[in-house]
Parts: sequence; structure tokens; C-alpha cells
Amino acid sequence: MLRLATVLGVCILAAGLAAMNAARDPGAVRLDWTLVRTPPRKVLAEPLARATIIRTVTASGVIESVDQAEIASQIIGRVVAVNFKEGDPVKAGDVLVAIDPTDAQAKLDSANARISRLEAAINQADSDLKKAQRDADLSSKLAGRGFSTPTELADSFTLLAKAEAALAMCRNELTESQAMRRAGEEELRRTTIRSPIDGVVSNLEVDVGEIVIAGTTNLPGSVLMKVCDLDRMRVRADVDETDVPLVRRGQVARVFLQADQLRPLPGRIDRVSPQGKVKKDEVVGFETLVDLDVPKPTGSESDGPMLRPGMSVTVEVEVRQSDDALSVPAQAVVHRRRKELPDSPLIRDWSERTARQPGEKARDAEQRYLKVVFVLDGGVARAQPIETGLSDERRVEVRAGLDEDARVVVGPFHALDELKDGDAVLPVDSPAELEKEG
Amino acid sequence: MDLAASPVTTGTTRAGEARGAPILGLWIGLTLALHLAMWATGGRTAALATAVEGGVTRIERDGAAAPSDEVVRKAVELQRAALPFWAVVRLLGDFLFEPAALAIRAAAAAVGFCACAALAGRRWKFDRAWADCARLQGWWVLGLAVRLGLVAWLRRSEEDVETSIALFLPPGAYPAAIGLAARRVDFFALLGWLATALAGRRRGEANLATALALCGSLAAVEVAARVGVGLFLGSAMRLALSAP
Repeated sequence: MLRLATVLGVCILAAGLAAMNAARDPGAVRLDWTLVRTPPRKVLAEPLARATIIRTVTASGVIESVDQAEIASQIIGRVVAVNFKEGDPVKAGDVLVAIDPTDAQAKLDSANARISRLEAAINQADSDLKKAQRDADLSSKLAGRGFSTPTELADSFTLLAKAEAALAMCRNELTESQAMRRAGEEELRRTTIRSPIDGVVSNLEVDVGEIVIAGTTNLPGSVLMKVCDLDRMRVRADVDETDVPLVRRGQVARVFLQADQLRPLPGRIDRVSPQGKVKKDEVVGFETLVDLDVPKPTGSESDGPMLRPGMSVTVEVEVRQSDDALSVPAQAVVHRRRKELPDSPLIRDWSERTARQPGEKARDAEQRYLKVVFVLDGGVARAQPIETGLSDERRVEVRAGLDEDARVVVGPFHALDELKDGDAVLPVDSPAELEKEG
Repeated sequence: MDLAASPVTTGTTRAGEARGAPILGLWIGLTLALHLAMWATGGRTAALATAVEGGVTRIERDGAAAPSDEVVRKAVELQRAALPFWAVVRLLGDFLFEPAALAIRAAAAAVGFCACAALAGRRWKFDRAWADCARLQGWWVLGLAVRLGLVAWLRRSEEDVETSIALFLPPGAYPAAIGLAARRVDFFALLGWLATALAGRRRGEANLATALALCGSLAAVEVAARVGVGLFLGSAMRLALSAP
């Protein structure tokens, strides 16, 4: 009887186990092989905030004066005087360099003497002409009365024509000599090189006794000096071709001097070159002029460094601005490969937003980076893909992917670098507390 | 008290041995047959191969950013090379340790009851205790048979079939130690230990409370040992096979 009951009981037990196992989902109970839990990582968390985000484009450049003149000689000659030193202020019209005027003066004197001689010759030719005219008139009357031969009459008219020609020739020579005198005067004037503008002498390349040559634009070494107007300065920057479509005339810029990177100078885009130039490594840049709005120095220490042509600067052009943008600190946005993120429907949807490129394999798609932030979810950090908008050095605009009341992990940096979806975290309120907690 | 001095109290006759050993041999044979069936049908190798291929998949996926395909290929080869090792470990478990566990369990229970009887001044016969304990190992064999029968009937892996209190665990993830311990509290094992305790009381070697306490202690020792070994081997396997 006991055996029968036992057998019956075993059968019932086996049937019950079979029924319960059949009703149970396979894999419903999983074993977590994490034998020792990793202690929660202390992280700094912040809620999303609304802020003004300004996107900037950065370019390197140099300071130059708006008005500057390259001084060169128009004649060949020996320098007899250099009236200014480098850095000296000059006024428009001041004599900068004097070239030996001996040759020019001699040419001018020669021209003057020739003119005097020709004026005398004209007087003589004029008298000759008058006499020939009288002789011709007399010969005509005599020929009418039959007292002179036709040959005598013709000779008198020939003399008249010669006298007229001699007078015209003298007058033309006088005109030519007067022109030579003007040229001589100009050459003499060119022996004195004057400043065309107010400014400061720079790049002084000439000294007394040297022979200067006539300068042209493309002839290096012919420039004797530069005169720059330091009151009006600008920046000649080189904007990369990837950024240049965003740069427009009139955009606000901030200019950071190498000499003083803490106090940017205000500026505004004046012109963007329509033609790019190939720089090193086949990089194309577009020359961009930035007008500086710098007040005249007052002489106090608060003026900052004096602007000098040739100074290296970094220009930040404000190309776009978003007011009241929902944003997170820039360091909170990190990049993770698709395969490093959990295979959840949200992540799948997000990663499929970007169409696979032609020829891209599924395996390569797993290598794609997604922009994510880590959102606090209870005691763990969850990787949340986001769509970003404008960004600046401090904040990144979040266009989609986050609720406004979410709290995101913003530090420390090594934690953000290593954080994975599902990691246990312990948020703290301030960096000081983070450091104190160790 | 000199236990060996009295042939009446020790009762270590060849006839007693003859009664326990054949039945234990039968159970061991059945256990070997059941495990052999599992190996022959591919149930065991499939589980191991799945674990290894899981590791391979993980390496291929994570290794896409490796410096070269050669590195990934070598890692995959290492994963697959681990399969024979873990198969041998499992073979040893199925064909050596599990059959041995039957004998050890029966011997431990028999010795335990005799020791309790001796300590309490009761009459004891080791051959009877040994024969009873050996006979009652059938509960464990029955449990194994039912489990493997469910595996075959439900067409599931052995990990997805439960004949223990783990059946009552709600769906979710549990620490490995708890999960393994729950799986070791098998209904047929409980019945086996209960039957062993009742048999000990029936033989007069201990009262019910002492018998239950002894069997409970032995069961706890067995569960602890199995959980410890399971944790060690499971962790080592996951470490070697890049398993989650």
C-alpha cells in the first residue's frame, strides 16, 4: 500500500514538474555571474539647462595696419640722407629719404639753358621771317611793274618759306626742351622721398650711402621702408575652407593676441576673399579681413599690449547663435560605438536613423559612433543617444533624445571616459564633494 | 567503546556488502546510462558548443576594432580550442563525479547513522544502513531520469528544465550563488534524504529529529560543495570563453 502511494506520489510529482516546466518560459531565470559587485562610481550630475550657445569658427591670422605704404625709390641713385629711424612717427609730406640730386639737377640746368638758347633762336628766326616777308612783298610789287625777274620773285618767296620753317623748328625745339625741363624737375623732385601718409616708420631697409634702385611691386629689395598708420589696425586671417561657408561680412569676431589671450579684442568681419589659396599640406584657406574696434591707448596699464603689425592672433568668428537652447555641458556628450551600447529598441532605432552608406557592411555599422549622454536612472547610468545642435566651448545644444528634467553625468572626465550603460553610479552635488569623497 | 570488537554491533558481513553494492551498482549504471544518453543525443555537447560559439561571436563583434583580423582570428581559435578542455571537465563530472557522488552519499549517510547510533548507545548494523542508503540513492537517479525526460519531452536545454525549488523563482536575474543553490534543492533529492532519514529511524539508529538533522546536515554539505564547485567552474568558464 505504501509502495503504491509512493509510486503514485512520484508520478504526480513528475507530472506536476512537467506541467510547471512547460508553463515556464525558457531563459526566464538568469544567473548573474557577477560574484563581487563593483562599488558605485561617484559622479557629478547636473540637470539640463537653458543657455545661449554661440557657435564660433576659429582661424589664425596676423595684425596689419589698414593704411600702410611701402616706400620705394622711383630713380636710381645714392642715398644722401635718411631722416627717420625705425619706429619714428612721421607726417604726410615729411622727407624720409634724400637721394643725391646732382645728376637730376644737372639735367634740369641743361634743359633750362637749352630753353634760353631756343628762346633767343626763336627771336632771331622771327626777325628773319619778318625780313623775308618784307622782301617777298617788295619783290611782288617790283615784279608787277616789271622791274624784277620771276626768278628773283621766286627766290624771295623761298626765303620767306625758309624763315617760317626755321621759326617753327625753333618753337618745336623749345617745346621739347620745356618737356625735358619738366622731366628734369620731376626727377629732381624724386630725389626727395616723402611720406604719403601719417604713420610710423617700419621695415627700414636703407642707409646713407647705399645705391637704391627703381622699385616695382614685384621687385624684392626695392622697398626702402614701410610707413604704417597704427591708429587703424585690422587682422588678415586665414579661414579654412570647411568653415568659410559660415563666415559672412559683418559677423562679430573676437581676436586673441598671442601676447594676451585673456583679453580678446572686438572685431567684425570686413571681407572674405572669393578666391582660396592652397596652403601647406594641400589645405585651402580663404583670406578674411577683420576690422578691429580698438580704442586709442590712454597710456594706462589697462590698455593691454600695443597692437603692432605682424602680431600673431587667433580669431573667433561668431557664426551662429541659439538663444535659450536646452543644453548640457560639453564634456557630458561622449561618443560610443554602436556595439558598445545595449541592443535595446531605443538604441536600435537611433542607430538606424542614419542610413547605411553605400557599400558599408553591417559589421562596419557596428563601428559607428553615436553621441550619447549618461542619464541617471535610479542608481545606474543609462547611455542615451542624443541629437545635438550648436555647441561652444562649454555647452552643447540638445535637440532630441532627452527629457528636460533628466539629470546627466557631467564628470569627472575619467568616469565619463570609462562609463558603460548600466554601471552603478552615486551622484554627488559638487566637484568639491567629489574630490572630498575621493 | 570498541566498535570493532563486537561482530554483533559492527555487522560487517560479506552478505551485507553484497546487498548494498549490487543495488548501488545498478544506480551507478543507470546514472552512467542516462548521462551517456545525454552525450549521445548531443545535449551536453550542444550546450558547451553554444557557450563557446557565444564567446566567439562576442569576440568577432567586439574585435572589429582590433588592429588586425589576425588578432581576432587567433582569439577565435583560442575560444574554440577551449571546447575540448571544457568537454573533458564535463565528462569527468558526468561519468566520474556524479556516479561517485551516489556511493559517497550512501556511505556518508550509513556511516553517519551508525555513528549516531554508537554515540547514543543504540544497536546498529552498518550493512543494513549501507544497504538502505544504497537502495535509497534511487531517488537521485529517479530525479536525474525525470529531468532528462523533461529535457527530451520539452526539447529544451538542461538549464531550462528544473526539478528543484528554482522552479518557483520569478523570472529575472539572480546572483549565481543563489541560483545554483536553488537548483541544488531538488525535489527528488529532498525525497531521497527524507526517505534516508525515515529508514534510519526505522532501523532504530536514531530518532526522527536526529535522523532529519543528520540528513539535513549531509544535504547542506553536499549543496555547499556543489555550489562551490559550480561557482568556481562557472566563473572559470565564463572567464575563458568571454561569456557574459
